[in-house]
Amino acid sequence: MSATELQPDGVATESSGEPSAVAAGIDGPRPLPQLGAYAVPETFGYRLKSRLLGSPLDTEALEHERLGNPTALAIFASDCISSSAYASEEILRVLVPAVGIAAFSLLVPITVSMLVVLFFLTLSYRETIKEYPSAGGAYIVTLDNFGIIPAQVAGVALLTDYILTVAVSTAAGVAAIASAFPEVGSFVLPLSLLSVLIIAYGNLRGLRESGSMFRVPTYFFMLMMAIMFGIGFFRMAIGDLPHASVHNHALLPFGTVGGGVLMGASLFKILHAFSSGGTAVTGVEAISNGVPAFRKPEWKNARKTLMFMSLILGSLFLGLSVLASHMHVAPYQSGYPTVIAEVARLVFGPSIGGKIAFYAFQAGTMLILLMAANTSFADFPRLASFHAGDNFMPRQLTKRGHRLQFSNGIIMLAVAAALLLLVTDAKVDHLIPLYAIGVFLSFTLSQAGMARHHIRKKEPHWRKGIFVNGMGALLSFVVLVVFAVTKFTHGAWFIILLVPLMVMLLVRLNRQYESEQVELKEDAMAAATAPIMRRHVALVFVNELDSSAARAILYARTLMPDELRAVHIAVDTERADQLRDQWAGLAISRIPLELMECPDRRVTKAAVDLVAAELDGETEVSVLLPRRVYRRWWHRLLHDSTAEQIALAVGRLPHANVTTVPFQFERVPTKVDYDASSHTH
Amino acid sequence: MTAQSFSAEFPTNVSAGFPAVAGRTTPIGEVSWRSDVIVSGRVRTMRILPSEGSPTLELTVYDDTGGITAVFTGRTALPGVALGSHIELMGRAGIRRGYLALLNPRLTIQPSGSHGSGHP
Repeated sequence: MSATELQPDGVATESSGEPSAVAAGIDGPRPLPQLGAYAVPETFGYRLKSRLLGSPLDTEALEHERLGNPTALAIFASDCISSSAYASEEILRVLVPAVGIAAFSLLVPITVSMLVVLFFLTLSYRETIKEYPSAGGAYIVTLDNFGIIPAQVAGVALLTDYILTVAVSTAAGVAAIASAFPEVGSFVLPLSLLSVLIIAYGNLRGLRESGSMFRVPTYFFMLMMAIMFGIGFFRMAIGDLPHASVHNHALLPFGTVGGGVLMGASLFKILHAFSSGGTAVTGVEAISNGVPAFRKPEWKNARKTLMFMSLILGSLFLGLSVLASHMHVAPYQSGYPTVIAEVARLVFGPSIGGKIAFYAFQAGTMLILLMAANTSFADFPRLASFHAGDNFMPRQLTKRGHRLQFSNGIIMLAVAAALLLLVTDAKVDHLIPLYAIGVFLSFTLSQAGMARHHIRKKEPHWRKGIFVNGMGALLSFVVLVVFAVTKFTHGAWFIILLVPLMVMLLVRLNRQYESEQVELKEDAMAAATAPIMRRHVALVFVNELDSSAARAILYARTLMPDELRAVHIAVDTERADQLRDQWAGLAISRIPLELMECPDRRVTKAAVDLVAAELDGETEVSVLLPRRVYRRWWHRLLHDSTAEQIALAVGRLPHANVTTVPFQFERVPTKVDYDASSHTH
Repeated sequence: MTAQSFSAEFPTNVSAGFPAVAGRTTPIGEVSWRSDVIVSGRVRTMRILPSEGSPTLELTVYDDTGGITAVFTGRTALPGVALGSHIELMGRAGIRRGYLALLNPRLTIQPSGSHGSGHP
């Protein structure tokens, strides 16, 4: 330790043979070499990742970007507003086969009733934004007011819906392309999968400059909608709007019109249609999840943006429903052209300008739908990281990846959405029955949580708060029940089963994590001060007498164990004899060589038996495994992995400690090399 | 600059001041032994040597040219200094474990992001 003494005056440090002599040359000591100056080659996987995703980002680069309201609107609203692209169509899909042409008369009233729900949800979320301006949304609100298990329900419900948002939005986005170019129609599934892949890739790389990227599609879509409405309502006012042909065999088959207020539709059908329209309000929660991203005062800006978003969604949804019902635009069986595309096509007309406007409109629809899918790629990983942080989901989800994104969450979402697209053949109407149940479940829980919050805190205006959030909770609950009942047989059963199953799984996972932690933390102090074992035996596993074995023996000698032995598990007795002869002729023969028979060729079993024989409660055993380090990944394929298997098996024994001793085929420069080279000049 | 100085909190063996180096920062790679220097860089490692009587805290500080060890005797932590902090050190270059080191240097904490990353 004498070399570690600090001598500002430089006296008496240069006793030869001390480590200090390595760096302290004639000019005295040198600065420390840069960390990372030794060029350990990166693995193939890492190089591939760096090539694909770009260079890794420092944690410091994790900046907190504040968004102005217009940008925030563009980012958070794309999910919400984009649902207007398919909500009206989904209502018609239920009504047209049931009541035929009367569906067009029922469309607007059903839309309006959905807007009532939207109105109350907006008011409710205004409260949430003010009371919980931190990130986390429904999960945090439910956690705070109802406890950890209901929070899991709310979270899982939202997570499943984020998966569905990706699936529905990409499918609908591709349907928008197919509406403009029917030739694309047969490639809807592969194109949807490709879109998911591209969006996932973009998110893994990290969309840093997302602000401006988001603004363009969202506002472009709004602009195109505004133009379409302007022309549409003008032509409607002057009675110039054409009617769509209802006699087309590609359309959904028309039902027959009945009498009465509901025109023959059963109340069940009406409710079913209503619940299909409920997909429109998904995404309303997005702003409440991201309040910290707003400029100060965050909650006021977030509230303002929320009002704008709801207003825009409401007018788009209503406007489209009015135009569709006026022109009798019915959905097609194949899913494309979509109702929104048909409305645009009829409004813009067959002229050249109309055609151009129509294509631009379709581009806008597609872009905003893909943006909506992208929003989920921001929300899902973050929510999953909250779950994982509370020990309810695998820990890996809390880790930020190469580019500071929650990479594992992104991959999980992409895989789940892709599976869903495969199962449903990327058909929007197959996905819709699964959609929105989760969102309304989390609406219900978080609004009820808000009502409870008002009761507990009794802050100013708490009575008003209870009314607003209570209404929000009640309405969401009613819609939820309507969803569950009317869409049960169409696929909703899947979500109704999935959510409780997932929650059970998460709770089970949580118990596992908690019990692990108890075991690790209990008696940690006692374990740290426990007396050490009396004896230390080192066993070097030798397969043949080669350089890697020699290196492992050299290393074992530096451990200075009480007993050191080389052991060989003899699968092949001839080879064992050969090794014994070689050993006898060597200088290192002072180290005993032990041969162990292995008649059943189970090397791992023999290794475990051998090590276990040393364990007597007073002995620590070090098992040293020479391990070859290959320079290329495929070199490894040329050899078996017996050493790894031995390490795994022996590592299960108490007080058996496995160390691998690497042998590099091509030496990596070390610190000694640095010091040597810095001395030469 | 909003930097806080902790120089008053612990004794330094070079308290006489540095007229020769006042205000000038030396790249760590150019620090010569036994000279009075001001260096600045990023804290990349911390080593705590617990001891009954006098614990010691060792930091290694790197800039783009090299690294230097800073030894603070009698402490296990420096308030405001964490891994990744940018600090400025003033002291006389000595030796520890064969490499350049500063014993109880005068320490100034710099606002983050004011200097280079210290990465090679």
